[in-house]
Amino acid sequence: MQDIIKQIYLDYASTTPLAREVVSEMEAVMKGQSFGNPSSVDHLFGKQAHEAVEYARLEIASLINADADEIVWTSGATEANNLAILGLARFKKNGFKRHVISSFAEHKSVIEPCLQVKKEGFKLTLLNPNVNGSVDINELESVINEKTLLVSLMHVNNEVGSINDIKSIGNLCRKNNVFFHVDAAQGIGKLPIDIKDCNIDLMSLNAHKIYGPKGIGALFINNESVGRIEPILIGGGQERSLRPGTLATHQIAGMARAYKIAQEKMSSDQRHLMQCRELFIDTCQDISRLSVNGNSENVFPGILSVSIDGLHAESIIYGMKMVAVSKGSACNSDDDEPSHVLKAMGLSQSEINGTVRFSFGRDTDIKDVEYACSIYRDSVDHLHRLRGDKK
Amino acid sequence: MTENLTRFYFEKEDHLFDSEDDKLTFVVKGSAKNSQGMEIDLYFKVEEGRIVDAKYNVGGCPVLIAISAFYIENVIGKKLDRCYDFNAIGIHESIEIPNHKKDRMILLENAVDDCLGQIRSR
Repeated sequence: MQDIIKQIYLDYASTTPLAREVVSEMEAVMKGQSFGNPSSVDHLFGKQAHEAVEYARLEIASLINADADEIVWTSGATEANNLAILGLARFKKNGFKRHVISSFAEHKSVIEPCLQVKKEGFKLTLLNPNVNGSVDINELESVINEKTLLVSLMHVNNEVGSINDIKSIGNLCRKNNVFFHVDAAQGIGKLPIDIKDCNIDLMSLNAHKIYGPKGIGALFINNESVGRIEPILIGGGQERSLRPGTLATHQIAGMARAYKIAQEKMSSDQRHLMQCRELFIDTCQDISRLSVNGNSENVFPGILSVSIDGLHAESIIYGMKMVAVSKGSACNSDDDEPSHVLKAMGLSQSEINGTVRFSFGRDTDIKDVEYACSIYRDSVDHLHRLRGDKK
Repeated sequence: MTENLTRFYFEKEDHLFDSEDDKLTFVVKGSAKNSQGMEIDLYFKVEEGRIVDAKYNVGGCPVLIAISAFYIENVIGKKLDRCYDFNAIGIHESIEIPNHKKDRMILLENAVDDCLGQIRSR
């Protein structure tokens, strides 16, 4: 237990700790009379739960300028991505438009459903990200055609932090009458996003990356442009039958509280994350063979991906025993498969091997960043000595 | 190898080969690489069929680094014909390697084989 306390957590892109206010909110729901089934509105317990759920729906919708009835609760962004892509494609399966566009930089919870709709008869185009990790809008425009049904792209890349130009992509899609789905798992609550301004039709949301609970998320479904998709789960009428299953009131309330806090703290969080990022880069820039992956301008400052050509990230991280970071993305950290995102960005195998993702958060202390830099440098130096590398 | 032993040998830098200081002393070098970019160079100083000193360079995962350091520390003093008898050296008794990293032992074995090949060809 003592070792855990001493650890410095710099893996906020993987997940975040619950905000104190979120814990209080969830505890209040669990301890109070809102434990009833939100669908059982014939009695007080159910009504109170229903009210908590609907209040939360309104809170989530307000952060993205949507209407409350455009929010469908899911178990997280992975389910929301599945529901958006599979649900839309299956609902439109008999239509003329049977082409889906996404990118190799997407999370696997987008790529795998895209591959599934390909198996179901759709044509799939996966774009390569540019060297910065974002999608080139001209390249996107060149592959959109009259049969294109859906473009699915992420807002913020989970491995390198690059930001897609969602507004321009949304405009392009609307101009071409193509549905636009955004995986906002890494960007929501951290960067402002307005679904009307960006012409977004579907957007996947989660809570656990902005100090909310795990196991809860939502899919925004634009009432005007999409209206209806096909559910991927069946067997209940909840969420207009789009997502059956008893709603988890306490998690939903926790998610709404996390979103409310995120809205209030977005600017100060951004400034703090930028400070952490700049400090790390300034302190470590003289480390031999170090390169920062992604665009230095158009990047979410909370995610910093750095590579050391020739070294192995697993050993770098092992050497940094007091600091919790990830190699590649957290989803990949328990296998040896190289990151598909870094590969698509054009990094060599040797650079990918040596890639570590530092991700900062609201609670990151500047002194902890300084300490992490020093530990990172020590670990890298040790591995260079083991290899017999000359400085 | 327990977690503590893995870390102990991962952090050890006692027998690292230095190309400037050691190049004349250690004339036998064996190398091995794998497709994941992991590599080992072993250097033996051999006198009368016995390894009187050994050094190494290694790049790769923590397990590979730890078993390399452990091997080098324990091969010194061994007769050449025992140098890849990992049971005699004690790796298998001391080191617990996860199943998906068993191939690191093969990499080490290949480097030792390469060393022995160099010796035989001299």
